[in-house]
Amino acid sequence: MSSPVLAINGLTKVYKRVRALNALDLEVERGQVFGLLGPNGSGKSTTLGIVLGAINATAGNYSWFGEGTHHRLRRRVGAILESPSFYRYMSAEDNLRVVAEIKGAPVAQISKVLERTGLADRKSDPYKTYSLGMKQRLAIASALLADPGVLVLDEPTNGLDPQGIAEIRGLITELAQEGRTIILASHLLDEVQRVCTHFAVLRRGSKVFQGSVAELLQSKKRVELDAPDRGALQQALSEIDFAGKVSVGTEYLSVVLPEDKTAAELNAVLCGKGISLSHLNQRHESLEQRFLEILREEGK
Amino acid sequence: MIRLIKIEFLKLSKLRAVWILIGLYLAALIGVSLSGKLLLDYLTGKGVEFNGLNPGMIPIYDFNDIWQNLAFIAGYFKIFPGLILIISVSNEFSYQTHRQNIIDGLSRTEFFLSKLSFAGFLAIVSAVFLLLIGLVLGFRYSPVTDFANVTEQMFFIPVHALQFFTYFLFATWLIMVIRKAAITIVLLLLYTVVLEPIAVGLLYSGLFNLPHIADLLPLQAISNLIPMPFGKYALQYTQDFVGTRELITALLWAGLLTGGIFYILRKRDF
Repeated sequence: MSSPVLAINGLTKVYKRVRALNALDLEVERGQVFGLLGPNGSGKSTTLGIVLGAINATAGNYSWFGEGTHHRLRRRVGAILESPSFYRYMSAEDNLRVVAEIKGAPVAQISKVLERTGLADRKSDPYKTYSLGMKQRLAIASALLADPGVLVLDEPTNGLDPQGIAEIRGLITELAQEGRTIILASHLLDEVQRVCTHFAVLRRGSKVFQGSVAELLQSKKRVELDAPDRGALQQALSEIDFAGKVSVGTEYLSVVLPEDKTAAELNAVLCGKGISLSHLNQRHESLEQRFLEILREEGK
Repeated sequence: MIRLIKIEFLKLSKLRAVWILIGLYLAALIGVSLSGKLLLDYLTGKGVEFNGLNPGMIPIYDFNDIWQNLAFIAGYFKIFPGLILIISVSNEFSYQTHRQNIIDGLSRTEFFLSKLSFAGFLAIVSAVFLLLIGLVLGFRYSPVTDFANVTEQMFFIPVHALQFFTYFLFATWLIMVIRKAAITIVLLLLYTVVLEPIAVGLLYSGLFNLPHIADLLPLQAISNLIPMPFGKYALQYTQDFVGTRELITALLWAGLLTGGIFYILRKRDF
């Protein structure tokens, strides 16, 4: 079995009076798009700051690629934390030259990543003349410079206009499809839901939930139903091709529906097959509700 | 190490302020070196005499006096290259690029070494300039140009590099602690021009009579590396060598400041 891309064990950070991170355990496997979700101040940026060497941990440890914490390992990771950080008076190209020198990336990569992020025609302009969206794209270009297998992105759509947000999300999806592991911190549920495969929820420096987005999205479209003749219902469901896996509970059957089908459609099809339902209930559970629920439970 | 200097060079070469400061430093150095002769000739023309001596005859450019004279004069202009170090570090803090450098894969030690080696590089560049100015002016005006006389006091050139390097460390340490360029520059000037001179004056005075303590203060220790040479032209005793105690004091400061900078970079969260 291969080592996880990033393993975090008991990571703790205590500032003078605040416990920003409390014995956090986390594992990110190769190929995952991992969302780190939590309200502002929940410890997302502290976690990423520590694993990227910018912040000293109070206790605990972490390991990249199962090889430890050596700074050279960070050259195989493309990362942006919080706001894009570049030399204001230098052009995009010159800024990336510094990064290439640090990462030991070939200079030829610079024009490639600028092309990819749509900055090629502004590459000679000073960074300080860039719009926020361009700065964010340059940050992603910089993260891609060494063609890393792992990307760490902290609030990558922060402060962008809707078009900018769509562009960045499109890019992230594309990068994930290329097989890169992506660790994405965000306080936007919608963002995590759209692009992530797995996620963890942080609150006040502790992990309160971890799971795969697919499972949660599945539960969103889970429909509970029953009929006087259960056997006939089960038979009918198995003939409906959009109905997913049927599970038999003590009181009801439940079935998973794809996103574009509703409980009403299912009902109509079952009626057509001569089944009248005695119970029909769609569980309205979105990631957002689940998230708020988790936070509420923890808040007690 | 070359890679680390290259990174620093990539960062700074596009910054106009750096070239302006280097230009100002060179202009000041060349200007003052040349005007020494002009000033003395001017005084001669006005009929001024020093103890019956014609000022134009004062051998400020003669080998081997010229090395100490130049190194001493250059000491007054160390603030210009010193500001480059302050700008370089404060830019990193205000752009958060020190953090991004670490995230991108530089170790804290490498970041430290890149600043340190750049300070060393600037000190060596300044020493090379001084050497060139000395050779040009010396061969132009000195009556003696044999190898022994040219090289005898040339050790002041590497000592000048050490003096500048130690001063750069002081400036770098200060900006690391204070983090804001404007406040650092004001404080550095205040300390250089007012605070330490007053402290030195008091310690040297009959009031305290602690000259040894005064010589331990950082800027005093840095200046003491190259003693004031001009007294000899008024026929006073003048130290024309680098004292062992002065050398050790300056080296101790260099070590202490290096350690201080390294400690801050290791411990601080970026």
